[in-house]
Amino acid sequence: MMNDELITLAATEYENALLSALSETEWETHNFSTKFEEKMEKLRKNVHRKRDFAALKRVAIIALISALLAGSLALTNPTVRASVYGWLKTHFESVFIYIDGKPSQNVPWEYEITWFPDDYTLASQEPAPDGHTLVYTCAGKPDIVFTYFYKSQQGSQIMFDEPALIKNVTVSELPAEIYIFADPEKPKAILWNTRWAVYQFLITADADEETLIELAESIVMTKDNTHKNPTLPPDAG
Amino acid sequence: MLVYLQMIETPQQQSAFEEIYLAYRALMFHVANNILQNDEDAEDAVHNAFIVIAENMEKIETPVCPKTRGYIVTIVESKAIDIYRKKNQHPHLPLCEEVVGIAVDPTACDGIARCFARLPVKDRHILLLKYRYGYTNRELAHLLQLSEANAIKRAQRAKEKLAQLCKEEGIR
Repeated sequence: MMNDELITLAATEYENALLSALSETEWETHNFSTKFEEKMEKLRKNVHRKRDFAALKRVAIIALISALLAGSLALTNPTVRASVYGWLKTHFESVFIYIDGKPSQNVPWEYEITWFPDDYTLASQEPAPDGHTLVYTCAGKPDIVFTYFYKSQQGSQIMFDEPALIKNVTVSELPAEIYIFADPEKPKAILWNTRWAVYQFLITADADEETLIELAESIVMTKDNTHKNPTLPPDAG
Repeated sequence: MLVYLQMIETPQQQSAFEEIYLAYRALMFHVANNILQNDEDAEDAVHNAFIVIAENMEKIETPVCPKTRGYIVTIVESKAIDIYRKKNQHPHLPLCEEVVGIAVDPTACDGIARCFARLPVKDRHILLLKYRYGYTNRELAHLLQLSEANAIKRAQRAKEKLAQLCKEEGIR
């Protein structure tokens, strides 16, 4: 069997021959199309973000896991502590919704987005664990997806499995995060908790930050199910 | 829980990519079009190649140098061949790989490099990426859309083919 050094040497010599075989004068004449230039412009804008996303993701996940574990370690009841690790995972594109414990069947309040940048309409509404997923569509435009879930257990959390730049913003004076993914084809996401952390809201859309915030701030409650459980805290979203 | 992470932006990383883009895009188009004979497909291959380059900027020490040029050419050739294969799939006949890829005259090389030039293009790519451009097995798998085990097997087979060619040429 050939040793690696010999193969490396051969590869280098071949490379020299390859480059010699390519004539310099032949690659001056092509005018790239507008479509190509636009795709490249998008790629060039995002390329400087990509290198640090692996590190960013690692830090974000470590911080998230640490926060969750810190919360769970405070639980002294062994039965309750065991339930913390009973994760139910729902894969929603690149989003994972970790539900700590058994999802509840009754969502206290239901919501919808009321402002859109274009003529979006509600295409579907499906139950998600402890909440709903609403998909809004507009002809020729990417979907806007709104997911919310009721944090019946403190450990429940939405998290992403892709590297992203995270920006702190506010939605109706509440702290929120906008995720800008390393993959430029992925839509952005805005994620926040309602007051008293009763609900977690997530909107994904191919939109700028201002539009994401405006979408988020237009959310209204459409249905109040609290009469089914009068002990629930007041909605503050 | 809120995690705030500041993006670290180095002008060097962005400018290296820009430099590569400006220096090599015409060459890349030439290579791709040589294989695909179609402007639109060739531009797609170039774009796909730049995505790979962007994801692997750490492999590039100097933006404009012969090694980088060789790397760029290998990547765009690979992406052009991917498009070529998709467009020329025949349900029953295997792809004739000897006619695909940049033609390098084996007599322009000596010794083992001559055998290298005689390898099928996919085997050449694997060995170039692994031994010249420092790709790990995992990175090869990702680039070639294979499992890591298959990438390792492919590299092994490529080495065996190279050894066989060298034996035929009487090279030890």
